[in-house]
Amino acid sequence: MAIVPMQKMLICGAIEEKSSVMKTLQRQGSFHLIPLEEERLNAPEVREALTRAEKRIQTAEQALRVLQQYAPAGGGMLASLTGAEELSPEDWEKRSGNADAAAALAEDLLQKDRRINEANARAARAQVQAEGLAPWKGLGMPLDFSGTESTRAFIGALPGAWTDESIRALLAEYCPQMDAYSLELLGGDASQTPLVLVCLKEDAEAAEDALRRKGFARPVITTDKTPEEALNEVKFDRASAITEAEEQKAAVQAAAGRRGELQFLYDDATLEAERLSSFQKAGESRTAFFVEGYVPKAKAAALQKKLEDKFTVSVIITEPDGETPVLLQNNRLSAPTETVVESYGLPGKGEIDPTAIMSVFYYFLFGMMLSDAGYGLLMVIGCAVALKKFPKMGRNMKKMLTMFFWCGVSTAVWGFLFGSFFGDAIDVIAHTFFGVPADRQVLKAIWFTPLDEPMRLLIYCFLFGIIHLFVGLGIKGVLLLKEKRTKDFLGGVLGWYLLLIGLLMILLPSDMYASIAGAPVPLPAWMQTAAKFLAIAGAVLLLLFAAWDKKFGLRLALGAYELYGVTGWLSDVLSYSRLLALGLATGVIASVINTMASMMGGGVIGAVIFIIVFLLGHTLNMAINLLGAYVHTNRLQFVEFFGKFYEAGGEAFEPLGTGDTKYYHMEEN
Amino acid sequence: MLNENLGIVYALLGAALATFLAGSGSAIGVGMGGRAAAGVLTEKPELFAKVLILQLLPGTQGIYGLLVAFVVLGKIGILGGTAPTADKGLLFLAACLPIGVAGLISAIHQGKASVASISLLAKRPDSFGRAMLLPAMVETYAILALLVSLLTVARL
Repeated sequence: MAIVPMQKMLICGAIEEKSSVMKTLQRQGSFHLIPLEEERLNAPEVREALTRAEKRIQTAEQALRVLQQYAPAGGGMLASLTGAEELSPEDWEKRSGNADAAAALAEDLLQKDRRINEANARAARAQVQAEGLAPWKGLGMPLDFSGTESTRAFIGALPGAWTDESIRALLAEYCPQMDAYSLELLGGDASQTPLVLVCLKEDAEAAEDALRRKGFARPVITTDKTPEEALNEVKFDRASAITEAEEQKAAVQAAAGRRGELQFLYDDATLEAERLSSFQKAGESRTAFFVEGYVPKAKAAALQKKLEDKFTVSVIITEPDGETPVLLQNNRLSAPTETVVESYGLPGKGEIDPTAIMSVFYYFLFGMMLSDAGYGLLMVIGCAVALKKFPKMGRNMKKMLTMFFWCGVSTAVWGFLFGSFFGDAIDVIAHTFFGVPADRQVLKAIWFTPLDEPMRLLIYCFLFGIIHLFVGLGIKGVLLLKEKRTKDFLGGVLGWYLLLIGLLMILLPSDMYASIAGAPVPLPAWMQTAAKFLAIAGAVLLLLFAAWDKKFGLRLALGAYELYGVTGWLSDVLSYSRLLALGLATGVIASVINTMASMMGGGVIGAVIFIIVFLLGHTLNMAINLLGAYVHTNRLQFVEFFGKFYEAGGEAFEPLGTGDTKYYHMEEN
Repeated sequence: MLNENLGIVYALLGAALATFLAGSGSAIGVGMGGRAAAGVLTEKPELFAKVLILQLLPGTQGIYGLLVAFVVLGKIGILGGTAPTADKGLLFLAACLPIGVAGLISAIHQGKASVASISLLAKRPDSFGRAMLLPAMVETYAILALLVSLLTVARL
């Protein structure tokens, strides 16, 4: 129901027991360590152990990724719900003894992965070479053959398509003196024409020049073997590389059954690294150590007993003097919305935990924005089934689903109040398929139908908004009175209450209100007079006490500025009109979907089309409006409600614990 | 001939403006968000659900425009109701303008805020609550416009 009270705990003991004490603290999970002002340099063996643990985390992670690549484990949509496997501390300890074998496995897998990559690279290189050699396949001499004692050979390709005659013509044009040469074309296509030209040494320069003019290029690959031989070699290389990659892959896949060991290694090393890094935040001398931290009051005595029974340590518990880390604790209805409060910020010094009060408004406003019984019931059923079926899901996931469960309940209630069940689905179905006359309404709103009387709903939205805001202001008032800041209370809270209530009472019987709501609210004359006095009294309080600690002139000026804040209140209240807008959006679009679905009329075909359009349309509408309701409920809480009293800024209670694991979870003992 | 149908022409023009202005705004906004979200996902795929929500935030204006358009269509004899006179048709047109124009502009700016929030989330994945809130502030003005459009159309 509030912030959990904390106590400070100081533990001193012999250095030999430091590691075991830390382990126990981690297992208990209720000790929030206060780090030393300056981090101490610990013994080198601690640093080594920390480095080793961090290395193991990394290796295990990479090895798991390798395993996932070659032997994927089915995750699927619901994987995040199944949660971690539970292990008792004894089993954990037992498996922990196996860590070296798991680390060796991880290293082995990484090495296999490197081999696979190398083999794949070799195969790819061989492929490129094979492609490069292919055009020279018919060449009966080594590819780097450059000629004999008196001749020179040009092995290369001309870009484009050439024939024997066209090349001879080219040579005749640029080196007319050359008469003895041999030219051989090796096939070729439109892109290039591979050829071998052998000529006398004295003609070589001119011949080369002629060929160069047309873009003659030597083969990219040079080898002293004939292309045929080289090609065979390359093909053999490629085949053996592929075989090796396959073999290594199979070896990796064979290790798939040991995935659990790697996952355990990852988790175990994570816990070890966490524990070891907390070593550096604890003080120690050559023979003793001390560590200080916060413990929830309810658990302090038990932890002290446990430590003193098990070790020769001295444990001193004191009441904390300053700010303590914040842990929220609420009943089953409110606890799920703790995540909402946490995402805004935890209560700071002197503040209360707003979760309990906020949760009631949260469910109320969320339901009003979504306000469809069908969607609400779907949420209730969906969340209940998920919570029942996956009891081991993560803590935050569980909170979230429980929150949406209650939001669903509220949504369903509001839906029936406004007569909306998948929009007007029941009426549409009755009219289309069961011949109910179109003017007879089947599902009637328990309260009223928003689309028929939007103004009425708007007034109610403002009313709920004013209540919400006044509760927020009230909390501020209580906090100020608790701290005996009476003048702040007069100028910051009471003044506003009087002024706003007075203004409201002046507004209600007026013509302006009548023109919005349709009819004025008649108030007796004495109340109308009282309203004026209330408003004036409130304004005077604000004027005088909003800045009571300043000098007289400044005080009045700042007071007058505070009065200007009435526009802020106006916009705060107007902001609640989103309740109406989002509620109407859900209802109207749902009705449109139903209308479209029923356009094909009755009968079997009509029913099939109805079902398809109905399912698609309502899924989409529900998803979008769920998002809208969630975002805007948060906004109303964060901006309008928290803005009145809540500053946040508290530090979270983050005990040394076993909660950061990914695959396995250590049971608490 | 034209004169007889002038009312419905004006009213339809209003419904069209509400849908296409607000819808275009949302398309621009969600598109900007999508690009930023895809960038973040290359580095941090685990943030998918959160950046998706941020990307979708500017999408509501399009829905509001659609909503107003449907209420109009239901009143002018297309999905129900009767064809309006020319005067009344113009009134429908006027009533559709707030959500059309405010929807267009607010969705674009909400999209920009969403992009910024997505980058915020990329650097600090724990600040989702705040990242969501900043673009949601922009939406207030679309909601106010929707309210004026809707209340006017409902009254006509």
